[in-house]
Amino acid sequence: MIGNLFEELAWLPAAPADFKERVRAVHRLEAPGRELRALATHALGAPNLRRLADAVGRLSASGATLAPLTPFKLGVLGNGTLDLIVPALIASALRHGIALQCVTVPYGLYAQQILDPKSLINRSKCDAVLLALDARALPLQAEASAPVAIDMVDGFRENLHRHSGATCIVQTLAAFPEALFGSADRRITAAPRNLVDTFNRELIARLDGTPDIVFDVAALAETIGLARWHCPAQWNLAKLPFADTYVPIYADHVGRLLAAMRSKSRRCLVLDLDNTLWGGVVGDDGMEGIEIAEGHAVGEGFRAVQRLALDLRRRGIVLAVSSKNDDAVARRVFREHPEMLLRENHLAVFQANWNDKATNIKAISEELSLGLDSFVFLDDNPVERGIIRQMLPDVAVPELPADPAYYARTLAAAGYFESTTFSDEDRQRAAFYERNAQRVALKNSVGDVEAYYASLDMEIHFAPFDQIGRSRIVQLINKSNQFNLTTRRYSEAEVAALEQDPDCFTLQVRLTDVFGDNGMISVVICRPDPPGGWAIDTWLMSCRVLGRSVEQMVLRELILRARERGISRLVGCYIASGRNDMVKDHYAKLGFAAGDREDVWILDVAVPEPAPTMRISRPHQAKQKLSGPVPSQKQAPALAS
Amino acid sequence: MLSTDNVYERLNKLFRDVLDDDGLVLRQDTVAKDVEGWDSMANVQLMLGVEREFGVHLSAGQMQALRNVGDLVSVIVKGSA
Repeated sequence: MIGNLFEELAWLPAAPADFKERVRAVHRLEAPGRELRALATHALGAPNLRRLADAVGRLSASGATLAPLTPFKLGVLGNGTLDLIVPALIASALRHGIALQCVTVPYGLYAQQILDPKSLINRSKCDAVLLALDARALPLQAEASAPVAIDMVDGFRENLHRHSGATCIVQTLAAFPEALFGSADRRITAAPRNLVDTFNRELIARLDGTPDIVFDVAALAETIGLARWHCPAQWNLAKLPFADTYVPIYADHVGRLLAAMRSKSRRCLVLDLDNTLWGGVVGDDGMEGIEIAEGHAVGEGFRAVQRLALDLRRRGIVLAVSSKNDDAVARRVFREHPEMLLRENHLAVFQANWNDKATNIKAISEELSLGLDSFVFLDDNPVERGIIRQMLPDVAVPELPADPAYYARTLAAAGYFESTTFSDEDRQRAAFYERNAQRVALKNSVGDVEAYYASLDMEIHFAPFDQIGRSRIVQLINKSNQFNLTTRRYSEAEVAALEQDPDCFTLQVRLTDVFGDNGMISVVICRPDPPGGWAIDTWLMSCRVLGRSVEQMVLRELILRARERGISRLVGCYIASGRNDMVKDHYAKLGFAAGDREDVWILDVAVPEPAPTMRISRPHQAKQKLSGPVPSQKQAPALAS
Repeated sequence: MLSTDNVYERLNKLFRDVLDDDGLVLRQDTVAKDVEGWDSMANVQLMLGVEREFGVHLSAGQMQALRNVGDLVSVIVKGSA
């Protein structure tokens, strides 16, 4: 997966199954621009890029407006075959908010097109011309021939300025992998690599004081690997200037540049906290338990995310936080943890609460007066990413790989903050937005989060405690702090005893959804509360699944099983631990009545149980009915004994 | 080694995708001029698509020697062995 970051544009989600149908239907929409951009915001191969480009062509031909996309006319000239590249440019530009029209000329005619004042390129009033030239186009063979090649490109630029008025986008050259002398190729002025180095350096120097833009193809090709970038077979076959595998990333880079030229690059990075800025869940693991230490194999991955965020801030990107956390618990890490790189003064807005993140990001956007299309949202949790993509489609939300070591690289590879210049204003921008981690009050919810959850195809699994689940049950009982009504800790032996105790009722709860198995997310223990009641001794849940009505489904299960066993009431109890504020009103919200003692809550199980909002499975129960008690299973061997 | 049926199935999917023709059915004796849109640029995309789909490399010499889809299938089956 990681090896294909640049090849597969792995920060973009995969194309949906109905991609083709949606492209076909786009012309029927009132405002097709938004849908085109949404469709383009997927990792697309050549056929799908071409489908999108064709749709843009058809819409433009019919005179349809592609608002809110920004129109841009780009001349594309090059010494190789551009037929595969042009559709990719048009489709990828959509991703960056640009409705691109390309002006192309027949293969091999780029020099004539530049030099002839009446040529198609010069007549077309292009906003910019991309000079897609590689080293094969330039006289870079003889010793000290770089200045000759530079003069040639300068001449091209001057002609284009004079005849067309267009800005030029010029490419640095990607050196070929074939060395002539060996390591000395960098030093010897007749060696190809030395010539390419000299050319690239001088090319960039000559752009100073001009409106022209550099497209650093050399950097892109080196990032990918020169031997992968240059494909002799494909050049020979069809004069493809680089391997077709990299057309999507090349085109995405052009899209970024066009967006930067039109000031459409992103300006604000909103960060999740737990398992995004540090390893672990601070509310459960405690400030001492999170992984962020320098030199620590896990912690270093998260430090790299913090370092990148700080580097981005130094170049003018505004930072904010949106996290499902207790505000005080989350802020304490920024104030007191010695290994943290990010501090509150680096953050404009700090939203740590239990509301949905779409509402929070909207509030951040309004507070900073920055449009949602300026925002990037970084979160390790696919469900949170999905909510933002659905509710706030203008916000860029990168996919993240399984290994946090690659989070920073993935965020950087997405190129959200492309900029063609770096001014004093940029340097000061982050300070301008400085609000020192201000907390913003939330207004109305931005949308129907429940409808989104319903689309996740959730299935909840209920089972009594058993040997297979035991170690995870013990871990949750001893680790969970936030969504934990009583914070009672039990040893492994005590949990094992509960498995056999006929008077107690236990539940281990798992949740699966379209993103996969969330694992065990809730644990409940009920003990007899005579006469005829169950006291809920323990009820805890992972905050990762908060807001997905798991509590209601667990209550439903408790009510059904209680009735089955002739139990008439459930007795809940909240014990404040200093860290479980969030569940203070848990029983009241679920319809329990206040009991005669403080923090004791009672529910008569004759009340109608909550309606199911997801699929429910009880695998163990089925097994027990068929074959009696499950025989104790052999312990799985440990990896290292 | 890949089965010929499996290669035809995947080739059909690939050709339909590249040529945007959901009704296309490749046969052993299918040649470029039988298929709308199978021009020289499409041919390049098809060959590159074959390389990616099947993890094989087709040299220019091998491509030049292909007379029909059946030849392409044989090259793929041999190359993936």
